[in-house]
Amino acid sequence: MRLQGENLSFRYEKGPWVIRDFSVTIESGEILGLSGPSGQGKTTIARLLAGYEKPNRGRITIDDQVYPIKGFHPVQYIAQHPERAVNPRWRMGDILAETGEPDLAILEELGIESHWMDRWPGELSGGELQRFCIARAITSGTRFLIADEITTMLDAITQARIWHFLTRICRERSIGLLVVSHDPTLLGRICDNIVELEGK
Amino acid sequence: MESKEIVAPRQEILLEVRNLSVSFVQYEKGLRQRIFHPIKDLTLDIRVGEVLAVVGSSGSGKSLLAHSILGILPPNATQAGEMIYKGVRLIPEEQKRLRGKEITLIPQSVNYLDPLMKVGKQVRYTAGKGKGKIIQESLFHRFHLPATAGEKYPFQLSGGMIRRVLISTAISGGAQLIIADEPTPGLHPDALKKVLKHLRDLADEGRSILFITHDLMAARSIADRIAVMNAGVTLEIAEAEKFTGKGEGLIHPYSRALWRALPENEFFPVADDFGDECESERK
Repeated sequence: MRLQGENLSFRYEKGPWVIRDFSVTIESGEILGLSGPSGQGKTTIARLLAGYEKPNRGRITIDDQVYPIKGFHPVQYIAQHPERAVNPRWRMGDILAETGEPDLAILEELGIESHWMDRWPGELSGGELQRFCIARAITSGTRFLIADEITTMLDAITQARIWHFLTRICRERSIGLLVVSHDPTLLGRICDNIVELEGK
Repeated sequence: MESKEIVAPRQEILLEVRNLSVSFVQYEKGLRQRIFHPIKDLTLDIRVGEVLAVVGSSGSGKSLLAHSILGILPPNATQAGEMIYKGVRLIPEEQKRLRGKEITLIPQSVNYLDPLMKVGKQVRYTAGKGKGKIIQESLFHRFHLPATAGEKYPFQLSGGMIRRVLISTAISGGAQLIIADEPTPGLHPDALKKVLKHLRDLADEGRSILFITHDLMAARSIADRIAVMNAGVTLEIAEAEKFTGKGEGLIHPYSRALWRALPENEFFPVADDFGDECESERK
């Protein structure tokens, strides 16, 4: 499978262009890095590819399917700030069940403990919440993952574990992975290819 | 009268935290209680003109340390141990008097900004009356924020820009102890380097920075000493230079594991449990 964004341009209402004529291709099983200074539209690209925003110009396709896509989205987005990606009034178990029956093996690998399921999001740390968001994004229908600065708030050991886990699961399941990060060392360590956004 | 004008010698201790513990009572079903103990035994001291970094896994109680010093723990929290600031015990009245003035916070979450107020105004607010605008503009300049950013609302700025706004709000009032709670995630290497340099400069001006971070490389680049925390306990406080090679100079195995896990080093995920959450249930 191939996720492709062609000549994407995006802006808010009549504001300045956040991105202009940006094209990107991610193949199944590929790990692609996306880096660049803040404010250059990395998150916008990530959100466009995940179907959260619509481009003003250009189109996004998965093989011959053209966005918008109905039903469970094969491209799942993992956000930079997990506390803003969960419903604060739902318990963790319900948050996780949002994408269907959780895969117990994945929960175990991510170190998600069963007694956390009854907790509220505010009772978990950022790293713990992020692991829930990762588990939620990986389902049988997931073909591509967009990881938008997902470990910037985590300690080195947790970070290394998450990336070892994600790169392995993406290879095993032929999931294409877009890694948005500021950290060139990290990208160099895990990515097959890296796209660098340049300053305006 | 507090002697604010006296500049203390460099090695003088500004804040001392002794055997701090923080616990929460949570209600499960009905009246069934559960005690949750995120900070068990935390001891550290921060000197005048020093950057003391506190590093550790997520959930190790780093943010709660910041909240304890400021006295902004939620009402269901119980705190024990001692905190001494400039030789005086930090009691709640003292904390209330000092926070936001002498002791300020650069918060972790980008949600700390008011979503309905333009960011320039938020920085001017903490700078105090009169010179607010000049201070805000010079801070934006210092952190390479475009002048037009002041007229924007938080949602219109990128994550990295919001970080720099948060740093501006914390230092606009002229603080002595700045608690920076994860101020760097989301910053591009160049911007990161500059922000770190600014924190270092603030310390060199005679302020103290408690730099709470999970970014060991960042900590090592500006801190004088690094305190390593795990599961609510300070494991070791080491000079920043000790974090080098394979971490042979470090005392605690966890400090070494943290150092080795960096992508710059071996990117080695330790085999034991994923992070270490501090649970009362787990012994």
